[in-house]
Amino acid sequence: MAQPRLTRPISPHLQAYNMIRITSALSVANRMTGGIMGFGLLFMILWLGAAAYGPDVYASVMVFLTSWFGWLVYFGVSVALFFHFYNGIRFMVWDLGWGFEMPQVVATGLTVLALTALTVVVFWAIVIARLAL
Amino acid sequence: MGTHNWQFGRDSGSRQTSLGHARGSGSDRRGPHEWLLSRLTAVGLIPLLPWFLYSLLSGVAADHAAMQAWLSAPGNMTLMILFIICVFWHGMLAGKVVVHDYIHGAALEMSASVAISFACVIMAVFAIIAVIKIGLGG
Repeated sequence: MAQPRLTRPISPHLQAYNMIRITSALSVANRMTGGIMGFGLLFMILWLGAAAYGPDVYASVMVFLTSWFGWLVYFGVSVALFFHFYNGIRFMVWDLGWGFEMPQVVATGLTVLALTALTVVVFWAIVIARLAL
Repeated sequence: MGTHNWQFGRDSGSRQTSLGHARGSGSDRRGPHEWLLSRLTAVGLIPLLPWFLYSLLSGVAADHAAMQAWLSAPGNMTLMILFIICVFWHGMLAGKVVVHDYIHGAALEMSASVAISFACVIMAVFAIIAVIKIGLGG
């Protein structure tokens, strides 16, 4: 149980990276967006749990879940989610052994950012259109 | 995957020195399995996440009756339970990796890791039971 006396290699933390580089920025963003979605899962638990306790509890909890704070959380989580979704696919492509050349890393990174922005806009346009109906 | 100082599942045929073994240094050889699980749950989420978002956009959360109508379909209930399993399993593995990367000191590292595991399992079980109860019309 005791800590080894020898200094073992440890994972580099944020300060070890030049955050202006797209390589490190997107890598760190992947973890951060994962954390944001972890927070979002609490809202999913609240939503499913409320429904399980019946219509009255569901209606009460939905007042909070559809408040401005709720919508703010969903917007933040949606940005994190779409980024993590596309960047996760980028990671899988790396796992298959493709895309490690710097031009490819930059191109796929920019593609992830563009797809994230596009999906956020389309998703929220649909949400707003549905709410307006 | 981090150095798991407290784990003992090492390969007896390892070339690791006995001193290194005693100090708990080096790989515990369980990393590849957890890495694979995090990828498999991610692969599962590639279709499940768009399905979940599509469901939300379809208005399944509008009121309790809509929730019940949605989850009472066996296919939807199955997909929702699979979604919950993949999300919490993926999140649990990822959370533990972050803990092992950034938290140092065996006691704190193990406590945080166990706390994440417990929290994820509790939330996943609760979510699954909620889905079944809603779907079966409780």
